[in-house]
Amino acid sequence: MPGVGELRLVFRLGGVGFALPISQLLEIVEEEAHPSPLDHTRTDDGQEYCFRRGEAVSLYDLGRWLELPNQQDRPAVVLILAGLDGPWGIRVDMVAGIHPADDFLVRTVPDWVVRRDRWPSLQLLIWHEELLVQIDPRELEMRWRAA
Amino acid sequence: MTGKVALFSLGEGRFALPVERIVHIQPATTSFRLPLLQPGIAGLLIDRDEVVPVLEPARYFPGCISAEPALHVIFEADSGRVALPATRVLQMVECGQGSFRNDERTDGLGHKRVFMFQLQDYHWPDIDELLVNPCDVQSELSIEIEEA
Repeated sequence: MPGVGELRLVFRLGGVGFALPISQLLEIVEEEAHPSPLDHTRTDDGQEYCFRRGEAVSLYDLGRWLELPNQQDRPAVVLILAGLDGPWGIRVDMVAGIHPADDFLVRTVPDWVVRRDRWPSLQLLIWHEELLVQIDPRELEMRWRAA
Repeated sequence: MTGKVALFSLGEGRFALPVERIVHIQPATTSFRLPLLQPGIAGLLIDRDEVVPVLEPARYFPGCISAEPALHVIFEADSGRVALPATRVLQMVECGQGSFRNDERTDGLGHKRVFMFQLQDYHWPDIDELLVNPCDVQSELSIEIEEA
């Protein structure tokens, strides 16, 4: 879990706000950027990959995994994260900046409130009167690899 | 039971709660519909820097077809604080001014408790019981969908 004093990236996906520590963030790529550092392909088994400067990056669909209903169709942003065996990425709708840890209040969610089997982290963050889901990229990666 | 009872309206329906368990009542605030919430949880709100689950009206008021809530009743349950949507606060009365009865539910899911005051029935939800028995929620939500 993020340490005290760590910066967090705030992003939005499907109308929900999220935050993750930047310690594992490698790059923020806007898919409409020209030239784009990403080239996309899809394997036969349905796992999407892209190539970032010649390096394969597994792309995971966080929105579908969390069953978010309101995902936008237009090209958005890819967050490239440092994984155990190499970079991996998630598509998000927009990035809302990088902010110091002091801007956030960490709060725990009771087990009876959420579906804990799918929740990447049982903690929420209060940030400027908004509730964000705290993402631990390492935990998320481990859950997807185990799925 | 002794003490005061708070009477509320919720759309066309009415319900009652023990005042001693009510933390406060506030205008309805932003409720965040976060992913993977359990059935019966409408969202989460921020109350004085704490996260409070907002219950779906069908969870504590079976069969009630409610309008957009004007109020959130912050209730101290055994499992923690929860927010119950309401339309209006009608009255605060002494428990002894009314009476309780148990009505058999038409859906066959046991009994529902009713507080009667001045010839009006007020649904009396057992919030603590509802929160520890989530399996009843899906049945109740299904009933509301069928009736709608």
